[in-house]
This record gives sequence, C-alpha cells and structure tokens, in this order.
Amino acid sequence: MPRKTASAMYGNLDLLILHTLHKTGPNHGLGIIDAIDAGSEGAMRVEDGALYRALHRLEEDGFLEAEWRISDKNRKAKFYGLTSSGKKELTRAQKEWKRHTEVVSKVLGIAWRAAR
Amino acid sequence: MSGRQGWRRIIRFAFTKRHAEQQVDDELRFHIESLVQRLVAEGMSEDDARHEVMERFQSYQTTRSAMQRNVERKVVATRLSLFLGGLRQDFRVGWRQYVKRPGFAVLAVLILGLGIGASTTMFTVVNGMLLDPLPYPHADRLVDISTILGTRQFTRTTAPEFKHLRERTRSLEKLAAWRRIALDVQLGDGPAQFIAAEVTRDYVDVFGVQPEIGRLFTDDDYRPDAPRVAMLSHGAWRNNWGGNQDAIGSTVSGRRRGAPEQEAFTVIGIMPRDFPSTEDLWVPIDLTGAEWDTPRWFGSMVFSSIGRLRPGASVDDVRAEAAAMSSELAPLHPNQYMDRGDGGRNLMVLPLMDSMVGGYRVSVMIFFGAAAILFAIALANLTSLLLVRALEKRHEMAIRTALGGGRGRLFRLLLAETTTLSLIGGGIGLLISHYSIRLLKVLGPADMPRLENLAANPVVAGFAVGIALLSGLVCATVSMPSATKGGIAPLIRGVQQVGGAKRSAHLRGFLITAQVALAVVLLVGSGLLTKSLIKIQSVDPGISVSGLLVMPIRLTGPQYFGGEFGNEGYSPFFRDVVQRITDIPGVASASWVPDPPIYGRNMTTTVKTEETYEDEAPQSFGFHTVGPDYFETMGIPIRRGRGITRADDEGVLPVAVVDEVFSELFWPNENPIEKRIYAWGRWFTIVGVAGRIYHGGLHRDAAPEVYVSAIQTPVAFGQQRIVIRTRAPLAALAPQLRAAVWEVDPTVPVPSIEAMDARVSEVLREPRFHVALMGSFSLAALVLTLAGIYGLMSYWVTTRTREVGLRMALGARTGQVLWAVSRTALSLVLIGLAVGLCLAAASSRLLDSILFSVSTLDPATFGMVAAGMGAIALLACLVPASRATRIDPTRSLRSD
Repeated sequence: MPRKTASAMYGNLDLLILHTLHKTGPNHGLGIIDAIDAGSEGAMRVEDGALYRALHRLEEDGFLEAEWRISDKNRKAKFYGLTSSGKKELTRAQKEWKRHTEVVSKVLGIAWRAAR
Repeated sequence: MSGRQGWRRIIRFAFTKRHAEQQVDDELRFHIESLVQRLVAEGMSEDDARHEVMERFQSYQTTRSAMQRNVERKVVATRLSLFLGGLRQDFRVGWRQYVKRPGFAVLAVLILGLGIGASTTMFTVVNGMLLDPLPYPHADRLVDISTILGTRQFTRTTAPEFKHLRERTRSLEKLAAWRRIALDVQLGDGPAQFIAAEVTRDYVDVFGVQPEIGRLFTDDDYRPDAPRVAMLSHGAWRNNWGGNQDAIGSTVSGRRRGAPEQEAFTVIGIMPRDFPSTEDLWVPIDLTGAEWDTPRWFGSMVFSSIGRLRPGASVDDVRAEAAAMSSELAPLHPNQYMDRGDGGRNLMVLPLMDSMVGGYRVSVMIFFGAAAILFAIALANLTSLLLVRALEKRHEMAIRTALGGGRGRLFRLLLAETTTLSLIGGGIGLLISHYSIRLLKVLGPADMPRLENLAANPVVAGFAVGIALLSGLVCATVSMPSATKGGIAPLIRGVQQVGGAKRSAHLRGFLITAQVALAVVLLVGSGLLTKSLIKIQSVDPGISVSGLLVMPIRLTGPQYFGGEFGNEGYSPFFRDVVQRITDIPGVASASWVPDPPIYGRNMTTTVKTEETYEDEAPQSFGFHTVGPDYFETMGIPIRRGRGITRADDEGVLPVAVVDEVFSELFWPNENPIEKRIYAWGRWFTIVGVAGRIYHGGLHRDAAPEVYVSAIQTPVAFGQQRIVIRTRAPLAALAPQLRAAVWEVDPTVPVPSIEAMDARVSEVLREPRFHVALMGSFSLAALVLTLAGIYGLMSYWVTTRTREVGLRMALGARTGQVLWAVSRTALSLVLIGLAVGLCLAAASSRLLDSILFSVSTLDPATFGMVAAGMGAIALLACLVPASRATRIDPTRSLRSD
C-alpha cells in the first residue's frame, strides 16, 4: 500500500490531530506526526507544513492551547494540549466523520464494519 | 524586576514581528533538528539528513510565513487587550488618588488648563486665519492684483491695467475686477445707503461660487443697452426682502453718484450665505471699452482685482506677465510709468490669502509663540509639582515594585495618572479658549481679517487634546525615574534620604531655571509693547482731539457734479451746511475735508515748487482740499501767515497752506510765504505754514502736507467729512447736525456722526490689544514661576530642618542661615535671568514690526525686567527661607 500524505484528506487532519492529542496528552508537532504514523501503521504520513498550519489554526480557534516545554531530548519545544472546547470539538467531529463514512459507504455499497 | 527587563518588554511590544518570527522559528527548529538527529542515529551523515528532512518538508517557507503572520496577529491582540485592560484599571487607580487628594489635582489641572487654554486660543486664531483655506473651491489658486508705484503699494489697481492684463494673461483662467459705489436706495424708512459694487464679467465665477437662487450675470447683461440688473447679498435679501423668493424679478430703485436720475435694477440672483462680502448689491460694469484706457484712469486705483490661476500655473507666471505688460505700456504712457529711481509702476500679484491676512501673519505668529512659551512654563511647573509628589510616593512605588509590579507597569500607572490630569486640564483649556475667543472678537482690532472664521472646531479640539496627551506623557516620563530609583530596601524601611531625591532636586532646579528664563522672555516682550504703546499715546497728533466731531457725507445727486473738476456742486452745498452748523449753539466752528487725520484715508498728488518745476520725477505729497476755518476747527496751529478763509474763493488766485514738514523740506530756514507750488495744473501761492500733524495715524511718522481751498480747487471726489468743533456733547447735537444737512438737501443720508477721540482710541486699539494679550501671558507666567520658586524653597526648607537646626545650635546667625538655605535657589534664579535675557535679546527682533519707535533691545526695558524679576524672585526665595530661621534647634534635632 503506497504511502499517502494527508493532503488528500485535508479536511480530516483536524480530526486526526484532536484525536491524537486526546490519546497522547499534550504533545509537540513531531510527536503528533509520529503518533499518526504509528496509528496508521505507516500507511499515512502527514505533511509537515500542513500539520503546523493546522495546529496554529486550531490554537486560534481555541481548541488547543500551546506551551513551551522541555522535550524528552532536553530541547525547547512547543507542546499543544486539548482545551475543554477542543474535547467537545473532537466528539462532534468524530460523530460527523462516522455519519459521513456511513453515508458514503452506503452509496458505494460497501459493507460497513463499525470501527472500534 | 530590573529596569532593563521592563524596557525590553516595552521595546518588544514595538517589535512584535521580530518576536513572532522568533517563536515560529523555535517551534520549527525543534521539529527539524529532532528529525535530523533521528536520521543521524540511523547512520546518515548530518548533511544528508538535513537534506532529506528539508526535502520532506516541502512547504517549509510558506508554512513558516503563514505561521508567523498568525502568531503576530495573536500577540498583538493579546497584548493590546492586556494593555487596555490594565490601562482601565490604572485610570481607576489614578482617579481614586485624585479624589482622595483634590487639592493637588485641582491645582495641577488649573495650571495645565491655563497653559493649554492660552495656546489653544492662539491656535484657534492661527488655524482660522492662516491655516484654514478660504471658503471657495480651490481657493489656493486665487490671486489678488494691485498696483505698486515705487515704494508705495496700493490695495487696488486701475481700469486700464486690469483691462490689459485680462487681455494678455495666459496663466489666469479668469480675472475679474470690481469697485465700490454708493447707491442711495429708497427703502421704507427714508433714504438708505446700500454698499454696492460694480463688477466685471466673471466676478462670481472667479470665486467658483453659485448663486443661492436665481442666476449669475451673463454676457448680455454687460451690453450698454441691456436692461439694468443686480444681484443681492444674502444678508440684504434677508433683511430687506425677508428672505422671500419673490425678490427675484423685483426692482431696486437707487441712484448712483453723479447719475442724472434714479435707476431701476431688476434683481436676478441672490449670492450664497457664506460668500464673505461687505457689499449688499452687485451690478455689472464693462471695462473692455477703449474709454477705460485713457491716461486719466491710470490715476484711479479703485478696482479690486481677483484672478484664478489655471491649474499648473504659478503666481510667478502671473508676475512675469504683469511685468511684461508694464514694460509694454510704459512707452505709451510715459508719465504714468515714470521711474523715479524707485522701481516705477508695476502690478503686485499675491495669493489672495496673503493679501487678506497681510501683516497679521506676523503678529498672530508672535502671540502664538508667546502662548507656547506660557504652555511650556505651565508644563515645567506641573512637572515640578509631580516630582515632589513622586518623592512622596516613593514608598508606595517601592512596595508595588517589591510586589512584582514591573517598571513598565509602574510607568503605565504614572502615565494614567498624569493623563487623567492633563485631559481634564485640556478640557478646561478648551473652555478657556472658547471664552477667550469671544473676548478677542470684542477687544481685538476691528480690521482683523477672517474674524468670523475663528471658532472652536474639530481641528482646534484635536490640538487641545493632542497637547494635553503630550503633557501627560512628558510629566509621566520626567517624574518616573525618581519614583523608583534608589533601590527598594531603604524605602521600605522608611529611610527618607536616598539617591533618587538628589536627581529629583537637580531636575526641579533645572525646571525653575527654565521657568524663570521663559518668563523673562515674555516679560521683556510685554515691556517692549507697553513702552511702544506709551510712546504712541504720548504722540501729539497735531490736532486737538477732544470736542471734535466728524460727520461723513457722500453726495450723489446729479446737481453736485459737472464743471472744470467734475464736482462743482460740492462747495455750495458744504458752505451752506457748514454755515447752518456754525449757527447751532454749542458749535464753535465747522469745516470740511475729504480726509481728516487718523482716518486712514490720504489724498496725495504730485506737487512741484518753482525750484523743482523742471524735475522729471516730481514727488507726491498729502494734498488736502479743506473748507474755510479748517485749521481753527481741527486745532492745527498756524505757525506763520494765515489759514484758509472764506475769502479764498473762485474769485481770487489759488492759495495754499503748507505744513512745517513741507516747509523744512523745500525751504529750510526760509520763509515760505509768497512762494509758489504747482499741482493739478495750476500754481498756488503759499499764504501760511501749519503745524505738523500725524496724518496717517499716531504710529506713523509726520509727513509733508499741503492744504488748499476746497472752494477754489474742488478736486476731491467721493466722501467728504464735515468736521465740527463743539463745546456740547455729541448726543445733544446730533439731531441738530442732521437737521442742518437735511435743510439743504433732504435726500442726503447721514449714516453716522463720530467723536474724534473715539477714533483715536480706535487707532490705539491694536497696540492696546497687543499689550493686554502679552501682558496677561506674562502675568500668568510670572505667577506660575514665582509659585514654582516658592514651592521649591518651601520644600527645601522642610527637608533641611535638621541641618538648619544644627547650624543654629552651633551659633549661626540669621543672615548666615538665610544665605545657606536660599543660596542654591538664588543662583538658579540668576542663571534663569541671564539665560532669559539672552533669549529675549535673540527673539525680540520678531516684535519689530509691531513696535513703534522702541528698539527691540531697549536697555531700559531689559533692565527693568531684570531688576523686577530679580527682586520678586528674591522675595519668593526669602519668605520661605525666613521660616527656616525660626526653627527651634532643639526640636528639629530631636526629630527623625
């Protein structure tokens, strides 16, 4: 399976970020990329620039809050964490994603196996 | 927190962009460096790793700048909201402090209000008179054209010069001229005079305005056979037609001077309300005909001319055209263009604004400067007060600092406090200036241009708020360092004498010196102006002013015109009226003249003597056609020979009386009686020498004057003035004087009867106003400065109680104590005095144009100011210092 960048699924990048942060707790950009990489078992590589722009956008929307911390490699890094409104947004986006894929799958006639 | 960090924070606020770049770079660097290290750990060389990472991060540059913009926006928004939130709190704190101590706040606000009020008042004048454009479209393209003869500048020009310039000009889009005429109009309650003007084509167009209702003059209206039409001013329309639309098409009957009979003008239009004019009515006149190009019209400077520059053309272009025109006309009219070695005849072209404002530009700027000086003094004064307060508040500041209030935060708090004060001061200043402007309109010189345009408006309010904010900033900046310098610990422990106080004292010393210096500049200015006023007042005008009445009369009936000089009907009328007036009980004598002294009007003509008859370039002198008994009536003494009498009529050879100045000019140490002078194409025999008069006003030098009999030589046209020497008050005589005129001709209007002494005080109005204005500025400056010195001294005495007590305990005498305490303050005053005198000497030159026979470096004035200021300042030092000598040594040593 060829690696795909997230640009094909740009609209869903926000969801991936929120989900990852929810799972890992506060994390820096590279950490998020690594987590998505691991989560997709190497099937998906988020484009660096797109990720950082998305992080800043989410921060501005108030879904994330940023903080400068020292990373495990003892370097200064910017850590992002979910805010309470970010958590709500995650729930909302998950529901939407689910409904969206169900509808698309129905149309395409693909049997839907509920994830998780 | 140290000062450096505080400043860094303020600077960082200004360099938000740099800060945003930094943040984004830090974030991305971590990302890239981590990836590089990861690859290096897998065995790749660092260069290859970096290359690989950047390869993958394709959109690095766009991402970076997008992120930077984002961060930048966010940082600004956050900081602004923090700043504003803090500011609101600071203002609340500031306000609470003033409510707690209203005395200080009221004093501070008044001091600042005074300074801002004075400068805002003068700025209102500067703005309304000099900066605000004239109320016409593209008013900067309007130019005024007038005639210059050698060194004499007229305010108007002549018909032929206008006609030629209009024909040849390329740089003027339009050129129009007009002249005032008197029009007797029959309105409801008897004869009335309308101020009317005959205007050429383009008169309204040149200003670029449109009639409020009706139409403008068209070319057809200028044809000789066209029906008579007129335009009305908005004011005349409102007053006499009730602002009724029916006015258009109605008829105005009036008779102009010399016209055989009444004319009926059909009203075709009303000028707009904001068209600034003194005329009531305008009628067309056509100056294009050849009859206006005769030599006679070159002497009649009665036409005001206004041109509108073509877009892109400059005033210099018109000047060049005017000069070319003059050199072309010169050979055709050698007499009119004769150069007497003073440049000859030419046209003067000035931007309309400059010609309107004229000499007022200089005086307005002088007083604006004076007001600015007063403002600086007020600011220095307030800053001194704040410095003391800052010392008192050091304890509070220290605690705030200890609790983590950064220096930037403290500065903001100070700024909020001073800005609260200064904005209230600005409001008071605006209020002061509003009333001052009303006062100025009443007291100021009556001929001040654009007086109606002086009012508070958004620009003026902006100026007041602007200098108020500036004051707040200056006060906060200056009083800031001493508030927190000197460390925290000693202050918290309550020790009073620390380093900060010293710096504050130096600063206050400097401020005192500055105030003294600036006050001295203002005092010298008002001293010079006062001396000038006294000089003007002490000038003997050469006439006896009190008990002299002046009654202007303008004859317009056809029976008064005709004959050799064109106005043969004048003399019989005035002889008759003056005879009737002389018969009124209480009148000593009466006569008539077109141009009495101090009336701003001066008839001149070229006069030759037998000795100078062959001269190519005869000189012009004051040439007054006077009725019999003129010298007795005016109170002008006859030095030799006799005055003009009833006997000097058409039947005898023309006689003249010259004044001392004329006699000394042509025949020094000789008797001029029986000598002859030549003017108006005839010879006059001198029969008397009159005393000198200051014809052009008290502030001008006495010039040579010639008087001839109005009966023998009736060359004067236009308005005449009957002058009356009385022993009774004006009010009692006025009805009888009017009756005397109307007995001779009931249609002649008598618009006013004036007392000469009122006229003289009118002449003194401008210099008096200058003195009043500069005087009040200096008085305010003096009071502020003295209060400053007094305050500083009182403070020093208080802080040095211990030292004084010690000295006295060791046996110091009163004089020694006084000296010790006031030594520093006195030397500050002396330095200020010296600096101030130097500044005054350097700047008083600016006053030259409004001073009368006083040197701008007048030693008496400078000496008096120095001595006076020194003495008063000494007093302000010694009064508080003397309190020090009453200190009880034992008590002062025990304190602290």
